This record gives sequence, structure tokens and C-alpha cells, in this order.
Amino acid sequence: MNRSTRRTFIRRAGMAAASLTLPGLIEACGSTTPTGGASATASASKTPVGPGGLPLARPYRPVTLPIYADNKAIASGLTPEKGPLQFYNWDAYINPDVVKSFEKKYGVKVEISTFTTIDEAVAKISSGAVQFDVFVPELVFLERLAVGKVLQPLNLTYVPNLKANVWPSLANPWYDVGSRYTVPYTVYTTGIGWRTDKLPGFDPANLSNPWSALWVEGPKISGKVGLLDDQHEGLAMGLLHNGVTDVNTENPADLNGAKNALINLVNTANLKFDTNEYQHLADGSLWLHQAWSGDMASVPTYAPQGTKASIFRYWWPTDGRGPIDNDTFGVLRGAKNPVLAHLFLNHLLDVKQAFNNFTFLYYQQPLNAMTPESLIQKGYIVPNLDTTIIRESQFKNGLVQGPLSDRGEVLWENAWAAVKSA
Amino acid sequence: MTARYWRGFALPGVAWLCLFVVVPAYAVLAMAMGRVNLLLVPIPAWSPATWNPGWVSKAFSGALPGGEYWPAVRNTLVYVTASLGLCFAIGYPVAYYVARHAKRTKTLLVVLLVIPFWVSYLLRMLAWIGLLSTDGYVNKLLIDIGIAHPPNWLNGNAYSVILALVYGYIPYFILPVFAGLDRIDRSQIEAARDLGATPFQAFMRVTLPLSRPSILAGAALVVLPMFGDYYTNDLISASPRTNMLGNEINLFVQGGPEKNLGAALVLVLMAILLVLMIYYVVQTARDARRFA
Repeated sequence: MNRSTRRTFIRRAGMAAASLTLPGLIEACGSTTPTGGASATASASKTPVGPGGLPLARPYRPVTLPIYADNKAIASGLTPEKGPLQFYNWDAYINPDVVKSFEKKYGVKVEISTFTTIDEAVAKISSGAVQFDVFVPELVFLERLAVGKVLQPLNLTYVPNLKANVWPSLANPWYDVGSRYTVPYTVYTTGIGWRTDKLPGFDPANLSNPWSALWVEGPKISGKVGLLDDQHEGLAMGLLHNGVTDVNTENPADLNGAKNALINLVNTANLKFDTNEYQHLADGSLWLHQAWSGDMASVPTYAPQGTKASIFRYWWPTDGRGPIDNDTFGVLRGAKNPVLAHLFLNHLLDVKQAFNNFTFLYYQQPLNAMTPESLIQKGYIVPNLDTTIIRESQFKNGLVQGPLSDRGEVLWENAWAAVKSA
Repeated sequence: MTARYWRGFALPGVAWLCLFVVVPAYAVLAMAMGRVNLLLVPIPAWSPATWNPGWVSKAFSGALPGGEYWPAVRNTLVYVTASLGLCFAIGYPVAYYVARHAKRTKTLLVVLLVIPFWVSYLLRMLAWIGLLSTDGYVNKLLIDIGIAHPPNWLNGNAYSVILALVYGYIPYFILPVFAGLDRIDRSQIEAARDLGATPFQAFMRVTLPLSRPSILAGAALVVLPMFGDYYTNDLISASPRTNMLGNEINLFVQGGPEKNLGAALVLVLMAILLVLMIYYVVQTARDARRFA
């Protein structure tokens, strides 16, 4: 296993900042603009509507993104442009070797620009000041980007790897039926990470509600407990602790309950908020932490010399009823190299490239060939962290972060702000 | 004619002020009065006719005692005041020693004071984490000298945040105070002594009042960045219990549907700073008259 550097930290630090906003959705058509003074009072009974009048995408409510007459996909069979391909990505969110192999294959240059929050990226792209070809939209922003005509529809004849290699459920996903605008990038779960040397005998699976692990164990190890500094992930933990499995709820009572549960944890367990759980668990400064699967897969590489890789654990429900998310790739409408951009997407869905990418990111791509067994066999992850890799069968049951309505967005952000100044 | 000629020299300064102070300040105001669009990009309301005052009233009412942002405002005021007090208690004697008592070593000491500037603020804060962690050097030392249960410094407590703020900004306090003390005409102090003042009286009645403008300048230099600081808190504490106004602003500005609220909270911060700046300007003007 390659020794990892701060790359995931950088990536995640940005992610965290961005995800203060997760799932970024508000103010669709002006009439519902939040005006500060107005308090959000969305009720669960009303079905909220997303931007551009689209339904809010959920696994049980798949959404086909509209294609507009003035924003069509490129024709089939075109010759690739000469480049250079402009790739706008999270910092350190791709293995440079994967990019190099693309450059070599097509004899072009790839220029990577990076951002640290999705809001910053969207603001830059939509200003029209910069022209990138390939972008990494977050699911929660997808409807806005399609309706806002920021992305261009894909011509999948250039991306045969989608059907050939990707899990069927994500080759035709609920958030973008027919993969009209996106192909999937990494998939990840949000669970609980801990160290067995500090917490012998502990396992969330032994609790009647494993999501209450921080509340049960936390007060005993006050100051050694961490929560992801991320609006959606943090509040979702509070919701699941309270037995609410709708992690996109817009019911104020649910969010209030989650908020209070987290504030309680701040006071009883001296809860810490950060997004470098892999460092804190690795160096032992924190023992129990809400964690992202990809970060946990990389934990052993951050551990000081002499720390056994076998002491790290990651729990996520085996039945798949836990928070799950995936990132995507898309081609921007203003792309100067649209054909090359499509070929780049195809390259990233190549099995060999995906494994290569994993050794850098520790985040899994949803490819049929990428299983816990194959990753352990290649020595890319240690056997006690096989729970960090998901199978499609689990993914189907996952609690996905979807877009929220305008009011829901405000409700979530205000609840989180209250937790953060508890 | 000549008066106009000399006034002309103010033009570059005025242009600078407009470009880098007035325009940005108005941009913050326009943002606070604005909206977010479909893509959650904040859109400023440049014309007062299109202002949406909801965010600003929410921010200001929330910043009052009992409001949702009050804990952050309170923490900020307490931490900055405490840090300023410590900066004075530690920094003034240092500046005094270098200015008045260091002779041949004066240049060397000034260089040593400047050296911390060479290391980035972020790295200096990261170094504190190494020092203050549970098994860090500070606690190892404390255990060595017989304290069996040293405190958990990084446990999200206010003391560590204040300590880090002081450490981070104290050079900005010492240097102007040193410069001020260094400029004081020694004959005035000698005159006080000749007229029968004890060294302590001479200090209290001559040196300290004469150095007041530089103390205020140093205080302004450290207080302004401390008020907006959020990263020190994030690194040293990471607990919501030590949340500062800068953290609150960061939360809203970084992303989400309420970026305008972040801008409105910047206005709250500016209002607090404005009160302090008015005090500073009035005091320095008064001092200038008195010591003219």
C-alpha cells in the first residue's frame, strides 16, 4: 500500500467546507427566496419541489433531468480535439497517474484546476469567466446544474465503460435516469470508526441502535469523540440516533430533535468537530469518530510507526440502511473540448484506472470488479477494514443524501449553525 | 492656489481608500442585502431600491444577548479582551526592556522579535497542537515536575484558544509599542527624576502616558485580526463551545442557502470594530493635541 499523504485531508477539508452546504439547494425561482427573517416551517406533509419545478430526486422517486433545445449533446463519431483538456476538480481528488495515462493514450495535455468548496466552484463556472471541460458535480447540486444549463447532456456512445463496468444501479441512477448528464465517480458510506486498543469490546453492532454509539460510549470517554464537521452528515447522525431514517427530512420537529441530540453530545462527551478523522484516529487523539468509508480505508497509512493496522474498525450496517453518497463526473456546457471530455469520463471508468485511482484516494468507484475481496487480495486495504467497501446489494438500501427544497435547505443550515455554536 | 496644490497630494490616498475600503465595504453591504440565485451563488443588491433587509435584521437581532449568534459574539468579545490584556501584560514589559534597557543587544532583540513573522501563522498554530496535545511536550514537562494529571489543553477550552491568539498576534503588539517607547525623549524622564519623582512615579506619569498612542496602535493591530479569526479556534479547540463570530461567518459564507446572512454577520463585526475604531481615533486625536 502506498503511503498516503495529506491528499485526502486536503480533499476532505474542502469537502467539509463545502458540505456545510450539503445538500446545496435553495432559492429556485425567486418567489421563495429566503429573506433572513422568515423562519422555515416546511412540513413533512407537503411534498417539496426542487429547482426548476423538478421533483426532489430520491431513490424511490427517480428523476429524469430535462434536455433543452438550446443545450444538446454532441454528435456521435466526432474526432477528439487537440486539447488541452480543462479539468475542474476537488484538490487531490484523482490519482495523477490516472491523468497521465490519459494524456499518453490520446496525446493531449490535461490541465487541472482545483477548488475547495462546491459553492466556490459553481460560482466560478456560472460566472462564465472560466471555461472548463470536465467537472465533478455533487448529487445535491445536480438538478440546479442541469436546470441552470451549466452542464451539457452526455452522448454515451463515447462512454462504453459506463454500461460495461459500472454497477447497473448507477449506470442508470435515480438522480439522473438514463445518465443524461453524469457518470458516477466515487461511492462512500458514512459510519462509525474506532480503535480497538482504546475501546476493547466496543462494537456499535452490539447496541440495540448502533447509531447511538456516540451517545452511549461518548460520556465515558469525554473529549475523545468526534463528529464530521459537515452539516448533512452531522445532523443525519442525530436523526439516526433518534430513530429517524429519512436523512432528507424537512420536518422541523425531526431536525430539532437531531439538533438537541447533538448539543447534548457536545455537553456530555465534549464532542469535537473536524473532517480529518483518519488522522485523529490514527494518532490516537480521538478514539471514536463518525467517519467516511474512504477515510477509514486510509487510516492505517496515517498511523505512526509501531501502530498495528489491525486496531482500526469501521462500522456501517451490513443491511445497507446507513448514509451513503456518490460523486459524479459531468461535461460543462461551455466545454471547448467536449469530445475529449467524454473520452476522459470513459477513461475514468476503466477497471484498471479505477484500481490505480483507489491506491491514491482510498475511495471506491462503483465498478462490478471492485469488491472487498478484490481490494484485500490486491493488498490495497487491510482485512479488518473490509467494511469500508460497499457492494451494490448494500448500496441499493442506502440512505442517500438527496437535494432539499428551498425551505429545507434553510432549516438544515440553521439547525447545524445552532449545533455549531452550542 | 498653493492650498489646492498641496491638497492634490491627498488624491492617491483618497483613490486608494475608495478602491480598497469604501467599495469593498459597500460590496459587503450589497451582499448582505442580496439573495442567492438558482445555483446558490450570492447575488449582491447594488441598488438600495432592491435591498432585502431580512438578513441584516436577522444578523443584528441575533447578535444581541439572548439571540442565536450571541454566544459567538460573547465568546469573541471575551477572548479578544482577555487576549489583549495578556498581550499588554506580556508585550509591554518586553517592549520596555528592549527600548530602554537593552543596549548593544537592542538590534539583535528586535530581530528576534521579528523572526516569528517568518513562520506562517498556520504553521505556528499547528505547532501548538503538538505542544499541547495530551502526550505533548507541555504535559510531559508538567508530569516531570510532579503534576500527575496535567490538563487536557486541546479539550475545547477557552484558555487554550486565548493562549493561541496571544501567541499568534503578540509580535504585532510589541513592535509598535517598542517603536513608541524608543522614541520617548529621555530628557523628559530625567526631568521627572530631577523634580523628585521616584522611578515608579516617573514611569506612571511620564513614560506610560507618552507611550499610550503606541499602545493603542498595537492594540488596534492585534484586535482587528483577532475579531475575525476563526482558524485558531478551529485548530486549537474544534468545539462549538468556543465558537467565535469568525466561525459563524465562515459557516454561512462557505456554502449553503444563507451566504447573505454571512455577509450580514460581517456587518455586525464591522459595527463592533467601528465602535472601537472611533474610540481609537478620538483617543489618538486627544493625545496628539496633548503632546503636541
